[in-house]
Formats: sequence, structure tokens, C-alpha cells
Amino acid sequence: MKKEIPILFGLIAAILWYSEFFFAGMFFDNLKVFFASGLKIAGVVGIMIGVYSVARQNYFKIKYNNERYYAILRVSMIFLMIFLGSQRGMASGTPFSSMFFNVYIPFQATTFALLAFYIASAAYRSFKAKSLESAVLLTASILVMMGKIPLGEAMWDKIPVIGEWIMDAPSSAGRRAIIFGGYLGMITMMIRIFFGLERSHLSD
Amino acid sequence: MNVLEKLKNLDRRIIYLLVFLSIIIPLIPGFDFLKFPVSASKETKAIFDIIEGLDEGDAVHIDFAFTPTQKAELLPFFEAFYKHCMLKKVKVFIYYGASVNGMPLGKETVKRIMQRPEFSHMEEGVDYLNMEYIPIQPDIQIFGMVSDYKGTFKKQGKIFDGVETLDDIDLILGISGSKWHQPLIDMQIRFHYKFAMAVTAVTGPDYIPYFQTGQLCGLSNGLRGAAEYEMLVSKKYDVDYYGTATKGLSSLTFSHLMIFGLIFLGNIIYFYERKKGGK
Amino acid sequence: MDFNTILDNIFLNNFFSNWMPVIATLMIMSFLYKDNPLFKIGENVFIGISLGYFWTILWDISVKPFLIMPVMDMFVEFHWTDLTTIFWFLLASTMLFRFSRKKAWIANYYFGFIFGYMAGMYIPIQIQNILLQSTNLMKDINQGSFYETSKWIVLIFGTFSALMYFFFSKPHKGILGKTARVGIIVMMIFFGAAFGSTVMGRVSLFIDRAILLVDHPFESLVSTLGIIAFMIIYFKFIYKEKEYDDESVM
Repeated sequence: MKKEIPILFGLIAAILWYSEFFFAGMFFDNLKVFFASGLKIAGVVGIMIGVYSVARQNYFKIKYNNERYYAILRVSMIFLMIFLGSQRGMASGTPFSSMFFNVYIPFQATTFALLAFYIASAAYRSFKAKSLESAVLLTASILVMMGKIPLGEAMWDKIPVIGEWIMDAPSSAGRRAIIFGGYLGMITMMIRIFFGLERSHLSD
Repeated sequence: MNVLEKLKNLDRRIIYLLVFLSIIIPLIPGFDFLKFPVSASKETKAIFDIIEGLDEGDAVHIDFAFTPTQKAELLPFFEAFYKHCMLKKVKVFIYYGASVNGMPLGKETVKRIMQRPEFSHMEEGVDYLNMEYIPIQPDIQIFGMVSDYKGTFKKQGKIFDGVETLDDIDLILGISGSKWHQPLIDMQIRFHYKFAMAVTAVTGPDYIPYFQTGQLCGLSNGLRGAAEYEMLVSKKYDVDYYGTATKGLSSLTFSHLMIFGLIFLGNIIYFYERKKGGK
Repeated sequence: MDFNTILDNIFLNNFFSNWMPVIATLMIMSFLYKDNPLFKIGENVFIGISLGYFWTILWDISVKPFLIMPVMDMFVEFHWTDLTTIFWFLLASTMLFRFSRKKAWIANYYFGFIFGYMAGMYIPIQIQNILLQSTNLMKDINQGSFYETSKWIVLIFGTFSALMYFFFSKPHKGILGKTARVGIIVMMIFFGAAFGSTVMGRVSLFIDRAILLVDHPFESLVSTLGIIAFMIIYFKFIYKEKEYDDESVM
């Protein structure tokens, strides 16, 4: 009951979709519509679960945590956005979209832009030619970077060609090995799920 | 040596400051002489050539799946590509795949572009269409698009004349900085649509093999790809579509030189210490 | 003046749209110096606005059209295809049981179904992919020019040796060991290329911010001075070194 029926469910869905690859027709068209419309509803339920989870977490933060004022600020911002959206609408040129463009985007973009500084610092501290492997890594990355920046091209017109060669041949070969591994692993995993051998996605 | 010892324990904030200055100084007006021209890579040129080969009334589907986080790298490409499509009078469907928070960004960008005098006669629903967002994974969506393109998005309009299924779409362009478009790449073998991508520089090398196998028919890589596309469109149509990507290239050069310098310095310190330790 | 006009006046003016992005950018950037209240405030405002934005807009573009509207239509006129809506809603609702300790297994119904469909859908597709990736390597070794030919040779032997590195069924000794060693070098070149691209990507993210700051020179200068003044006052007079465990992470 706890695992057998879900696995049976999964087997039915898997067989339906597997045979879809080999056959065509009315039934399979309906199957696609059935899944497409159904997964939209599942997506909506997923959103509701997300809302519930955030609300629960913030409730406990405000109730017990010592960083209560930040949590209150956070929650009040949520309510401000909901209020603005319901009061004045969400089209462009409303307070809601103004908040989005002038506050949300700068905050989000800057948070990730800080990585530019961290990667520079990390390159200075730990990007060293300690062994053959790391020397190769260093050389490849510098050649690729030189190929990408306009100055490299201005200095010698063959530098982008070298960069392209690295990207197209050895780098692509390394990536292909990872792709092969990834696909093989995924196929194995999918076959295990198909036959009900893999149960890690099901809880007790 | 005392200087190297000091440099080894350099405060991280000094490094941050150096990087900050190397990025911001080339952008200040008066430093325009730091600009260098770029040439287009074959991957970006491939996207450009596909659009050049289209006729008036052909359809392009853009899957706009990036968040404002990646706006710096991908929005300039979207702008240049969209303008190119509009110049070619190609029908454009813009779908916001993984990107609820990218949607207003895309809509606002489209609105801004359509206010330009050369596009003022074009209208939504005839020449381009915003298809908003559906909470659904791309794999199942592809199946929907293959059998009924219009029905998948529940949209109406004159623009759908002659666009029934995925076969009528001449190019799908995925713009994303995540793994969102992997199902589209995987299923390309099965449904044989034309699929091109604009990706962030971070994920760029991951997609080269797919370009070689032909699953991707074009690939634009980060800010550099966007600058190349801006250059291609501007040169071909003799217009000034140089945007933030071209503007940022000089900063890109100098910040990279700064990072080269830092790596070089770090290695000198390392080798000096190893030599001293060896003695 | 009614309430809506007041709202519009607060949020829709040049002052707000010129100053807010610059202040927000600099607030987050102040973290580069040290963790400080300005960054904390910015962080929490960002999270709050982000959540509020998502909930509001998802209600409009997702919950309303895909759940509320079909259910409302169902009450007006019931059609047998509506059974699929009910089925999927019930199935997806089992996800809610993940929050409960004892009844968590009920969610298995949904996850079993979803993983099952993915397995069935992806097995043929992945096999096609792996075949394409392999057949793509089987090409004429003479590609015309030395440049292209060298690419293909490196690609074929590089992929082979990198795959040998992942081959763990035999100890890496002899020829296998040497091939695996070449494989490591190939992988290192890939990681090097990835690192080079990563640097470019990360720097471009900040270039966008820098363009914003340069486009608003007066605002940037004033806000920077303001933030520096705040930091000096804060770290000189208010800030005390805290225990590490006090920094709770959200």
C-alpha cells in the first residue's frame, strides 16, 4: 500500500509513455493532453505548497528567532507587494512594476554580481600551477579568456582561433565524456525506476 | 622578501577595489579609446544566418527563460535578436518558459523596442505575441506544440495564420542560463525542429558538443555573443543597434587583464615561496 | 486626492526610479567590505519583495487560469473531461502530505506517477542522444584543412581517453593507466575552458551594474558617500565583535 501501488502507478505511466515512442494515434494524443493539462494543475498545487512552506518558516522566525526584526521587515515587504498588486494592478507603469524594476531587479542582479569580485579573489589566491594538471588548467583558461576578449584579437588575429580550437576540440572532448556518463547514468536510473527497483524517490 | 610576504596576505578588499576600478573606468565617458572591434564567432554567425535566410511571415519562437540575475549577459542578445527579427518582418512568439520574474523584463524590453520609429507600425497579435507563462515542464510542452501549437498556449490572434504545429515554426531560440532547455536539446533528434540557444558564458562550454552534433543550429555565448550579434545586425542593416553589450566589452577586456595580472602575481609568489622552501 | 493617486505619487516618479536602483546596488555591494545592517536590510527587503512579487503574479497568471477558472466552469456545466482536472488535483494534493511525518507516504502516489512518466518518456530519447553523440564522432578523418583535421583527431582520442578515465572496472595500470592520464588532462582542459568562461560570465554580471552606476553619476556619488559615512559610524561606534554562532542563516 505504501510503496507497491505508487510503483504500479509509475509502471502504468512509464509503459504508456514508452509505447508513445513507437505508436501514434488518437489515444496517445489524448494522453499528451491529459498530462499537459494535468501538470499545469500540479504546478499550481506546487505553488500553493511553496506559499505554505514560506509562511510557516517565517511564522517560526518571527515567533522564536533572535533576528525577528529582519523577519518582520521581510513579511511586511511581502504584504506591501501583495497590497500594491491587488490595489493598482500588475501591468507596466503601476507601483507594482515600479517596485519590480527599481528595487527587485537591482537587488537581485547585484547579489549575483558580487561573484565577479569573489572569482577574482579566488583566482589570485588559489589558481596556481602546482602540478601538470593545474598548469594545463591554467593555460587553457588563460588562452580561452584571451580568445574571448577583444584585446586578444587586436593583438594577434590568431588568438581567437586558438581559443576556438581549445573550445571545439579538447574541451568539447572532455564535455562529451561527461555527457556520455550522464546519459548512461540517466538511462540506468530510468530503467530502474521503470521496473520499480529504484525507490529512493519514494519515502516510507 | 618583505614585499612578497605582504602581497601574499593582501587584503581581499584591495583586490575587490582593483577589480571594481578595472570595470568602471573604461565605462566613464572620455575613455572611449579603450574600445576594440570584435569579429563574429561561427556559432553566433549561424543564428544570424538562419534569420537572414527567413522570408517575411516566417515564424520564430523565443523561449525567454532567464531571470533578472542573468539579465546582464542575455538581455542584450534578446534585444539585438528581436530587433533583427522585426527588421526581417518575421513573426515572433515570445514565451516566458522558466521565468516568472523575467516576464515583466521581457515585456518592457519589447515595449521599448516597439516604440522606435522604424517599428511603430507593427502591432501585437499580428507581428509579435507575448505568450506569458504556463506552469509546465518543457518536455511535455514540446509534445503539445508538436500536435497543436496554438492550443498549447491558449492564445488567439491573426499571427497564428499558417502556424498550426511545431513544423511551421522556423526557429526556436532558447535563452537561458540554466539547464532548462536540456529537454529541448534532447528531443530535437526526435522532432527535428531547428533549435538555437543563447546561453550565459558560464554554461557556454557545456553546449559546444550539441552544436557540433547539429542539435543546436546556433549558439551565442554570453556578453561577447550579444556584442557580436549587435555588430552583425548593425553592420548588415546600417543602423545603430549597438547596446549595452558593445558598451561593456572594454570593461570586459580590462577586468580580464586585471585578473590575468592577479593570477600572474599569485603564481610568482607561489614559485618564489617554493624555491625558498626548497633551499 | 484619493488613495490611489497617493500610491502612484510615491512609487512612480523620477526620484524613485533614479535613486532606488543605485541605492539598492550600493547597499548590496557594501557587503564586500563587511557584513553590515545595510546589507541585511537590503537582503531581507529583496527576499520579501521577491516572494510578494511571485505570489501576486502567480495568482494572476497561474492559479486563476489553471485552477480557479476550470473549477468555476465545472460548477456551471460539468463535462466528463473535467474528471481529469479532479484526478490531477487529488493526485497533486497528495504532495501536501510531505509535511506530515506519519503520513508522508501518501505523497508517493504523486511522485511515483511523475517519475514513472519521466522514465517512460526519457529512455528512448536518451538512447537516441547517446547514439547521436557516438555516431557524430564517426567521420572522415580528413576534414580538409590541418586545423579541422587536428580538431577531429583530438576530439576522438580525447573523448575516448576521458571515457577511459571513468572506466573503473579495471585498475588504472599499463596502457589503461596512461590513457586515463591523458583523459585527466583532457578533462582539465575542459575545466580550464569552463573556468575562463566563468570569469567572463561573472564579470559581465557586474558590468551591467557598473553601467547603471555610470549612467547615474550624481546619485551614485552621493549614495556612495552616504553609505561610506554610515559604515564608518557603524563600525567605529556601534559594531561589536560577535560570537560566530550568532550568525543564523536563513
